[in-house]
Amino acid sequence: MSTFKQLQEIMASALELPTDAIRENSTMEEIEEWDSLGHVHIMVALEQAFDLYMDVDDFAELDSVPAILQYLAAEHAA
Amino acid sequence: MKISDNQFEKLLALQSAQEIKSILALRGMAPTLQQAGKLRQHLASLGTARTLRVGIVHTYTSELLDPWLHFSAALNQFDLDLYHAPYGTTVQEATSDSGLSRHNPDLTLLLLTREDLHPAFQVPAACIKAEDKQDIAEQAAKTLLGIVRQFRDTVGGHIVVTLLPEQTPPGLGLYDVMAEQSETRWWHGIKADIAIRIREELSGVSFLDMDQLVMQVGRDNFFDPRLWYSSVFPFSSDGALAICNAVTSIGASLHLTKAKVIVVDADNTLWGGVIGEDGIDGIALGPEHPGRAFVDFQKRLLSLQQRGFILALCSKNNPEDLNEVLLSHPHQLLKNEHFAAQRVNWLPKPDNLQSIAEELNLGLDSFVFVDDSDYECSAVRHSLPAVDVIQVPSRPTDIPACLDALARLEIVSLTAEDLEKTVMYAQERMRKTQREQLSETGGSIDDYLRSLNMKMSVRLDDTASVARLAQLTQKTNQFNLTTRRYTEKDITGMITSERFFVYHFSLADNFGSSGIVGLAIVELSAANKARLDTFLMSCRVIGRMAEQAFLSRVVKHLKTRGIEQLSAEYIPTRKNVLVENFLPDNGFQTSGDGGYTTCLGNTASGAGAPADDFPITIEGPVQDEHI
Repeated sequence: MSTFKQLQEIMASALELPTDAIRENSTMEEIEEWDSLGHVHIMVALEQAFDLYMDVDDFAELDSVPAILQYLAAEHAA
Repeated sequence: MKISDNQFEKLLALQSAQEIKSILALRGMAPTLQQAGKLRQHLASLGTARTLRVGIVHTYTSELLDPWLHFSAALNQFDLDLYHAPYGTTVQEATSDSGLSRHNPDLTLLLLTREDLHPAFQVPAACIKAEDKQDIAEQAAKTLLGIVRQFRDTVGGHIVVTLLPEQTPPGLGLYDVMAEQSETRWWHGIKADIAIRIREELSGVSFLDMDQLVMQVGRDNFFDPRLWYSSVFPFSSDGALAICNAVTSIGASLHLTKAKVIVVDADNTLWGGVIGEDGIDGIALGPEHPGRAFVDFQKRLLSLQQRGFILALCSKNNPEDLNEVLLSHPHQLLKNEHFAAQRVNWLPKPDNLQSIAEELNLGLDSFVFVDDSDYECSAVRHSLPAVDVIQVPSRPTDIPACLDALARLEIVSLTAEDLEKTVMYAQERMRKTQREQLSETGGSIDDYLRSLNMKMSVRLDDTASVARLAQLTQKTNQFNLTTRRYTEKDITGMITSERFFVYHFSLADNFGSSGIVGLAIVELSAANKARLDTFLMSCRVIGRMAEQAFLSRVVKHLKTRGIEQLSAEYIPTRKNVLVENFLPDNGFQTSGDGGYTTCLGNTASGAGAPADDFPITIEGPVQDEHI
């Protein structure tokens, strides 16, 4: 499964949305359910799925699907 | 423990919520947020038992608990309807028109912090002067009780009170436990005081001890400082799930059919190995591995009995082999007297469970069945879907904890009667054995009753037993002539009145004492006449002639008071057909108006029969100073 597909499922589950509501260019601004609480759920789910320990100061910057994908790519490279 | 993709697929393939629940509980499996969401959907598709309405009042972020609460509720077949009070409001929600009241919760969860109770908790405990500590503790308890009381007065349902534990080790570190100004000791004292006062002063309120959950999960894993500092949410996923499981357990014990009986298998459950093959010296039970795990599991079962659950034994074995272990294995903790019922035979287990249910007069939906065998577990699951089936883990080291996470085995209260109950069933079984043994040797029922050595104690106008007497009028349905329900106040009124005699009795025999099980209330209606207002007896002593003995002693006492005529009535209900003929059978004549009377002078009839006709030694109240 591609990283995007995985992310799509994680986010849809965390926000209780259908999978196709999450697109490759989705941002926090345009998805109503992606509020500050939904954001914490996404971050927690990401950590568990990708076995990460994220810095809380990074949370705020990960406010779009491209930003999250970029972060995951960097983490995997590291 | 993480759930692997492979394990997760297997869970999603299961079609029984109970099976999913017991597997997760047994293996201590912790789902990820995403897995919890998927499992919740799967569980919901299997059907729900009922909606559980939960209201949360909180002084820190609570919404991040939601996915865990939904998951934990779904595991117990609840469909959750959740309301969060606005952030930081507490007693503002304790009004009849608040959002919380309008939500009409089954369960209100109060998530409070110690700082909410007293500002002194903002500084390290070691900084508080010793002489101020008692005052602060008292004020903190008073504030909390005051808050809870306001909710109790305005919101229905059950209330669960929590206080957020300290997220760091005690201020004085490892030395804390020894220190004069120990923070841990001071906190535990406050907490214990609060919990006891909630039990004694409020009804329908549970204090949920979060410190216990911290111990279970471990402090480092229970909290997530990142979420605390960024979102005022203290808990990690593990911590959140532990809290939600505890809250749903309380919901389950209140709103699901109560579990009452735990039926255990013997081989590879109470001990390792098979007694019929390995023999008493060959089974694993004792201080050496793996025997120690089985000893510990037996300890857990004894603890569950102390919670008020009844234990029963169901094993495919030769009775002699099994009895040898119960009687003479040096490390066997569970003895004959701990089991309210035993089925040691070669019949199918579903049949045995059904016959245990009949013997104990309890529904199969109150049964938890514990067995190691795939075959027996699936047989019971298949034939008796109402029974909760717990398969004992194959690794002995996993066995002692295998019932710990079962929500239906949590309790929200514990009374003397609950504990008495298990003892009572065991005593009843021993009486039955004695009856059967006597009958085999040609003894009559009367021989049996005499062999019990019964002693009845009759008391008159006993103000110390008011609560129990009121409870008897409230709960007794079958052996009850008039089914009149009385409050404690009513009973006290009659005890202190000159116009009423309030008699009760308790019964003891070779096997134990019943406590107070019978009540008679007599009203003096004229100089030499009286009316039997209430005559009832708890079912637990039926069939021992106690009712006749009690009536005869009441009559004997009335005669000493110059009463010549006693009137009585039978008021039929759906449940008291048992006593339909009690009055005519005991010397009462119909009196035309649908009632009954008996002349107390007529000693030939049952109501006046002398007490030595009964296989029971009676004491009081005629010999008492009352006379």
